[in-house]
Amino acid sequence: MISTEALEQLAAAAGEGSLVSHETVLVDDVPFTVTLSPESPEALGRTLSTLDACGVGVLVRGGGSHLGFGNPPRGAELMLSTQRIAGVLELDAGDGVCRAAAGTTLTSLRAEANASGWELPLDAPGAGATVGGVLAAAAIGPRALGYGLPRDNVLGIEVALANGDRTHCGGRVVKNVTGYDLNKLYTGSLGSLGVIEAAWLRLRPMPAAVRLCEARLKSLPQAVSAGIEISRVASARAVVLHQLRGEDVRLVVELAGDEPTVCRDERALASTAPFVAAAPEALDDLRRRQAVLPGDAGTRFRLAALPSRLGPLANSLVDHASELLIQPGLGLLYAGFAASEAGGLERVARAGSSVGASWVLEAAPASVKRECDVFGDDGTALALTRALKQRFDPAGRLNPGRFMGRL
Amino acid sequence: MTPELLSELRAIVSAEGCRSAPDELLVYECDGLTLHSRLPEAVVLPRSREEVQAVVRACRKADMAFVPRGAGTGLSGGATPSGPAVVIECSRMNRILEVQAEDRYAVVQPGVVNVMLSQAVESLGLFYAPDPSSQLVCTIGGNIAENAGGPHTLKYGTTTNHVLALELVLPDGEVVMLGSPAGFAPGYDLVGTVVGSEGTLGIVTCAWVRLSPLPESIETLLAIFPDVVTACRTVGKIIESGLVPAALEIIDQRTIAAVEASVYAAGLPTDAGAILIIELDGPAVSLPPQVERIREMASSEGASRVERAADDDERKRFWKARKGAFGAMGRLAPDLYVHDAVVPRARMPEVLTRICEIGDRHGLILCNVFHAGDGNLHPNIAFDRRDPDELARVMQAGEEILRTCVEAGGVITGEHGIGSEKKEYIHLVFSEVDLEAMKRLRAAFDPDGVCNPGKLFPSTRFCAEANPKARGYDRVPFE
Ligand SMILES: Cc1cc2nc3c(=O)[nH]c(=O)nc-3n(C[C@H](O)[C@H](O)[C@H](O)COP(=O)(O)OP(=O)(O)OC[C@H]3O[C@@H](n4cnc5c(N)ncnc54)[C@H](O)[C@@H]3O)c2cc1C
Repeated sequence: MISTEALEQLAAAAGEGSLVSHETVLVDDVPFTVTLSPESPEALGRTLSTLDACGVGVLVRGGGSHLGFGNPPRGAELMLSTQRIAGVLELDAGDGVCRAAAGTTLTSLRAEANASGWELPLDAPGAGATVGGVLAAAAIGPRALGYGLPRDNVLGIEVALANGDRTHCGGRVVKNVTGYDLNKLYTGSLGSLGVIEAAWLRLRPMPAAVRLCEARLKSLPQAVSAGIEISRVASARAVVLHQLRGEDVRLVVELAGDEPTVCRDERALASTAPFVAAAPEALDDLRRRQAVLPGDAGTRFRLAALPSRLGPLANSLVDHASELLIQPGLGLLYAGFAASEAGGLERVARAGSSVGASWVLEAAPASVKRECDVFGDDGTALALTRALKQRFDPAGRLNPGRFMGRL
Repeated sequence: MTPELLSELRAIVSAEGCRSAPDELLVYECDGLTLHSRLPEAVVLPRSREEVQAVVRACRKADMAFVPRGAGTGLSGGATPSGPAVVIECSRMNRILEVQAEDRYAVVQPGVVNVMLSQAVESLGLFYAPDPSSQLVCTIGGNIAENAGGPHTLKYGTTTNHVLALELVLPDGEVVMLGSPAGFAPGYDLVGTVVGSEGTLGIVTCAWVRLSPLPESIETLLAIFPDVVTACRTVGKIIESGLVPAALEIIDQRTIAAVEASVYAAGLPTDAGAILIIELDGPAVSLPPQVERIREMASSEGASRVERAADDDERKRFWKARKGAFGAMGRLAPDLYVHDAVVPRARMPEVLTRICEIGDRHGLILCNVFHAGDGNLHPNIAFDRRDPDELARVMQAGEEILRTCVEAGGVITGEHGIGSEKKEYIHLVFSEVDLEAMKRLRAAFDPDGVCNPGKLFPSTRFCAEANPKARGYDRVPFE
């Protein structure tokens, strides 16, 4: 239990109104009733050094949209939120780059970028998703095919380390090899090495033309190969397959780019499947589904396979998963198993290893998570992972227990 | 170095794979940065990952540092030993092990020469996108270590966007597989972390790299400007307009003159103040409107004419001039200092004006040929290092150039790396605590600082003095 004295010190470090008691929030089966929200980046640094001095571990959170991802927390006593460290700090419309504080929601950053004639190349699901949370989780949405991954769009990151040191890496320019590329290390590190304060991001040009269309297909293997082919046309920005068990496959495609290319690609699509125009919210639907499938108490895996193995992988899961969502251009397959279906884990592990696919367990009841490492069973880089955690967060204050190897 | 270590190394890599005679070592005394030089204790040329591991273990046992090396074209002293060290040269590990056209990747050994990979997969309609101007010689291993870019980085990204997985021999001799050919390997992005780490985190012995489809069609334009500033403004306009050309490269007047007087002559107009090469690629239907827009932008910024390469031969000729520019500058003086810095693209006109002023103020021959689309400047200074006064002015000008770029919001290297060259300047960009975070990374991979020591981090007398066993120079207590 955290002492009252420590709580007072933390509240003082984090600034006015920063310590909030609330109803129980369960992360896996671990209850949290207190959240610290430092009022500024400086306060975040002070808070971390106070946490370190008091020996208190925290669960770091942004908007909370990806809070379910990770192994069950172990020994964290508070939540540490970046939500008050928010705002678009700079947007250079001439250069197509921006700097946003960690707690900025994607929605508000996107609106500012669009108003300056640029597109924000992050489209992770989750209404309240924040820049810091999305980078920490390396979370992606359907448009990752066209936008690239978070790692491709991060130019610089400001990070407060476990000892409270406030650091930065990278920069605001679009090409940079000055020092180690810690951007890559922090992106996807799930707050296990430090707390992201802000980031420089690359923006992308707004496309002149966008088309959204969809097709229904009977055969999953056929849909996967059509999806791979379509993902390779020049203007493909999102290509997503979705299938509920026993139903037809829905293939949603978004093309974006210059008008002549989009027109040409649209014609090419017609020869692969019977496409019709899709409702404007089709992509948002799938983005949402990607994050919630398969509903309460179910389990969701994300598998990554080479394109040539994606068809066989999908085939081996289609009769067992309650729902499949596939981004063929990225080699990603999300498989949802309803709570009533036992054996999802073994099935996924077997299917994955038979085609050389890696997997992570994105969502599951705590009981399932306690049976396995949610980062999968491939521990080849575990020693290095451990050494990094040891160097950056030797006392294990940040998201203890949550990362690969339950670090 | 002890005779025992030498004979152990010979036993591992065979006698012809081990060089230790002073005249043989001379070739390895520096890389493309000739200002820094030091003879290695020995050079080994392993043929396999197992041999690399055995060499590393032998070095560790003998308390000897080691330095990986590719073709030695690096421009920041990365492959030059900073202290007593064995150089591990990867040129005998030069096979393309696998090409998977359907899944668009190749598996290569580190010594594969960059251009050879693209040549090997061309018939499959594929290419390896990172194309440093040194691609005829430099190796994929060196490219990975430096996160090399090239003219086409603007559209295709740098090396880090094209490496899927790595086999790495760690500084303790263990081997680890990082990443996955399918991408999305769970856990930290260790591939992204190792790419660009300048050979200080281990030795890459195998790489899985992405292959990209050859563009359907290409248009190459050459716009002729009265000066560099107007060419830069055009680049800013193109970027702001949202067009993403494959390449935007500027060559200034002095460079044009040098190129035209050399074997790389491409018939460039020697009276032009600057030339902007604009390459567009993509679907054939998309290019004509883009060409028109760019023509308009260039003309409105003062281009006197915009030529279009009529065919592939002409296109290659334009590029030969660009890629041969550094070589051509060899005509101007015995030495060439190739600088490398990046600034926000909108700031290029003012920064270049200041850089030229710096060169003039120090009475130096300074030419610019650079990746303008990325804001990546290469001010090159031709000089004679035998003239100590001139050398001092070159160094002074170099520092002023870096400061100017940093003041404009930029950084001190975009593709050549920090190496030994810029380690004392890294403070211009990063604070002590920023560097401390990087040292934590270093220590996780190489706690004893034996893999390419003396690079990237500023030398601190404190470390070497406080720890007499530190061959690592950059070794500091972490906790
Ligand atoms: C004329 C000319 C033009 C150039 N143009 C460009 C350009 O357009 N873009 C660009 O980015 N660079 C350019 N460079 C710089 C240079 O070519 C690149 O940095 C290149 O990546 C170096 O490759 P290399 O094989 O020569 O490596 P080396 O110079 O031998 O080594 C470079 C670094 O890589 C490390 N290293 C080598 N092999 C391995 C390995 N297997 N494992 C781990 N570390 C390793 C070394 O220790 C060293 O730190 C140019 C250089 C010249 C001379």
